[in-house]
Amino acid sequence: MFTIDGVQYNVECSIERTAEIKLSDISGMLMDGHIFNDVLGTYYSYEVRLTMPLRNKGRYGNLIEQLTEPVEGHTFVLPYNNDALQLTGIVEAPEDVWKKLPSGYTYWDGLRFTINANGPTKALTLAEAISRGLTPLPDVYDPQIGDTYTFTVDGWEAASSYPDADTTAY
Amino acid sequence: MFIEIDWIESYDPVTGEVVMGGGEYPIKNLQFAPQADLTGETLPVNEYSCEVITTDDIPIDTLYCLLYDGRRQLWASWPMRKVERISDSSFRITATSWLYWLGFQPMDAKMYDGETVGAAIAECFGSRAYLVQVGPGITFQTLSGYAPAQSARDRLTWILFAVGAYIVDVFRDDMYIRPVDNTQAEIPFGRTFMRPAITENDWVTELRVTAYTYTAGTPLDTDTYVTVDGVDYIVTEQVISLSNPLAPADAPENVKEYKDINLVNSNNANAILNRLSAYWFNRTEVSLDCINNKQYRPGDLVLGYVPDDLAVVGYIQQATFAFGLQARSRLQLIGCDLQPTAPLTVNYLYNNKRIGREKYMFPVGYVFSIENPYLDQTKKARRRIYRPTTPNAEGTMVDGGMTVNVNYEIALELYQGILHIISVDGVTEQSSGGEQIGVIE
Repeated sequence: MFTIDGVQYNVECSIERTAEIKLSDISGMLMDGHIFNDVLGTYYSYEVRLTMPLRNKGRYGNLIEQLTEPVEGHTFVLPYNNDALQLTGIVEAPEDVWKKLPSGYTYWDGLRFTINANGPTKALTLAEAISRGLTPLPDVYDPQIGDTYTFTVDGWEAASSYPDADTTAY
Repeated sequence: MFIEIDWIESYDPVTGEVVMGGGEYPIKNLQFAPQADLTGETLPVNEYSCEVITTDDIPIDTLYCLLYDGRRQLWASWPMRKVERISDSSFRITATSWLYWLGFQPMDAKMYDGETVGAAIAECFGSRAYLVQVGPGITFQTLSGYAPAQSARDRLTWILFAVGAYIVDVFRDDMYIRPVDNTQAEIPFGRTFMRPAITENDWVTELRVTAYTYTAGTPLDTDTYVTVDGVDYIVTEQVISLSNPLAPADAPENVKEYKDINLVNSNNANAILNRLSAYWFNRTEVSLDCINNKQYRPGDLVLGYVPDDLAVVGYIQQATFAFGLQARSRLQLIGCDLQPTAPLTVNYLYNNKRIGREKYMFPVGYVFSIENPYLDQTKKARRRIYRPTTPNAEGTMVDGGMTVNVNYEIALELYQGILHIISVDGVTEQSSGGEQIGVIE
């Protein structure tokens, strides 16, 4: 199942996903022997194959027309882990096979196409690329040596809280 | 990368009201290689060109084209000089520094007699003087000498040559005129790409500069003179020279001569010679690639590294940029002085055990001061922030290499979800009025 520009196709299909971590052209070997990888981000491509032909010829025609529109990209919704991923991408090389049965019935079969994302699904900012990805530590108001703080779902919290006169905990 | 294009949407000549229009457009195929000429011999006109992706029409009366990277950091802000449609959805534009337009601005002949550099430069820019800032070190220097009728760009070239300054018109939305100085930025070994190229030019054996003196009076038939505002000035010339002490005795004579720059006089000629000697007497040129997120720009003096354990100190003549998430540039360094280097190892110690190490490469005799970082390490489920007991690792590099040890202490420890504050700097005041733990940025 996939969606193109808001039109959902609930069809029997197989979808092959490929992730590519793209480096920019400025990457290269440094004087100290390390490799400088300038990571632009993670780009996904999906290859969709219809495993059963669409019985509805009109709907199939619409799908083909949509896939072969000479546009820069479509908005797709595709499977992603246990969820769905919306991406803008270009359709590459849609191909199918015309078949005629002995009965004279004709249909298109074996449709497959590739979607290449126009942009990264995951990308770092420059600051993130430079930092080592460690979780932030708390900002502390009036720290004292010996104080302790605990990380909760609401963030960092002083381990020893005490109530004010109006019972508000600080 | 993208560009912001600003134009005049409408102008009411009665009220003087100007309505600006503009837009942001993605670009591709950017060519951006700004230059600076430290000799002051020429005034390079910097420009960039790129393909703009849009189906809109771009107005011809565009005022500015601002070049930004993906982080909205400004790289250049120049007027558009050329635009051509190359497809239904793209244009190629060329944006060029204001210096290009100064070439079409005529200036009358003038006799400078103690006029400040700041005022003279403002005169070159005319009604666009707001575009230029003159550094405090040179704005109050004075000029003396004759300038013939010439373009504002040529006049500016002469002024900059006379005072030893150059124009910075990249990475900012105006122009800044700063003196050629010895402030040195280091391009770290680990930020320099492999295979720098080194070129040895012919030795310049001698520099000659002609200085001019102008005296008001009635010239004889044999005198050279100029007339400005009906006043005759008799011209006397004096050639001042400086030999290259680095050139071998058998080097063929190669004299670099500067004459007919009439703002050179007996007061500034020696300073000009000294400045030019730093450029011309070192005959080595180096081309190296480095990661350059706007740290190094044309005109800067930099310390870089080349193979064979050598360091190079030279001026950036040109920086050719290529962009990804970060920016890489090929720097053309001129007037390079090659120096031997040696390795430095900085050991980070806690209780006399090494918890980290960094290696550097510096020229022999280089006085280094490296900020000691906070170390964030997790071992056996204990996350510790170590802080250095001294802020910097300092010393002077010796031949053969050296090691510096830096002691650390634990500042914070996170264990089983509880953060223990063990050692802090104290409390620092924030602008918001709140306070923040000193060891945490």
